[in-house]
Amino acid sequence: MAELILGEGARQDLRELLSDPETKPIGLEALKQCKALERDPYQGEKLRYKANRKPLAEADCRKLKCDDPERPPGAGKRYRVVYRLEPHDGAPAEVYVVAVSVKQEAYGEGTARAAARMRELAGGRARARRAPQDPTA
Amino acid sequence: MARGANKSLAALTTTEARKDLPNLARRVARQRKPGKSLMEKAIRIQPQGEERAAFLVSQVDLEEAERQLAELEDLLEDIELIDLLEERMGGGEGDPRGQPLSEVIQEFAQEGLLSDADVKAIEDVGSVSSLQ
Repeated sequence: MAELILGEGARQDLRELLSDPETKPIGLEALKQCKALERDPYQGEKLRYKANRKPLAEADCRKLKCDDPERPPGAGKRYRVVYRLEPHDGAPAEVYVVAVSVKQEAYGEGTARAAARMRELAGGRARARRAPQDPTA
Repeated sequence: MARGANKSLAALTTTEARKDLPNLARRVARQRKPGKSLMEKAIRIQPQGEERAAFLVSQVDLEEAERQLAELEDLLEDIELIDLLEERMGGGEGDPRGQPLSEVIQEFAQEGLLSDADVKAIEDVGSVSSLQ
């Protein structure tokens, strides 16, 4: 069984969700998901994009759907429990929950930002391919 | 054969579309494979005096568009979440103020954010019997 640790940001997210009667069921559901993660840390879906920064790139970062169980599918905002497993292979000793974040909808501000970031990355890779190779290398 | 959007996106007038609507709808509904784009096989209907048109789109095309949108949304979400991870973990050095789940639950209960029943419901998820 893995130890589940909640980061400061995640605790703040949960506190905000639990403080509002409208979002309390989501906060409660997120805590239940966290409890379940102690037994099965691999429940979440692996994040497909990896940053260039080494520590994060090596980490096993995952997201787990977390919606109000009383709401019909598709209604209201959708949430994600975002966590990383440490160490990243073998049996994880620790599940570190970083955030309980609202899922960005398509065409939303967050998605547009992410799309711009993706274009930047694609541009960077294309520039790197075009750059002349150093003959001394 | 009614003019559709297959190649040139030639438009039908609303009168033409109204006259042939059952056939047009059947033709579009019977489409089995999605086109290369949402508009490729759509039928364009151009109301007179309007700058923009309306489109008759098949269910398979709509479902494919929804599927692709969800996939992209998911990928973009991952990028956004990695950014959030970087922001909160300072490039992976970790958060020294991390706290075990059991302590957090107790803290929230003391603050009145969780009732006894809430705490029990959370604890029950971790019990072996609830997973069977």
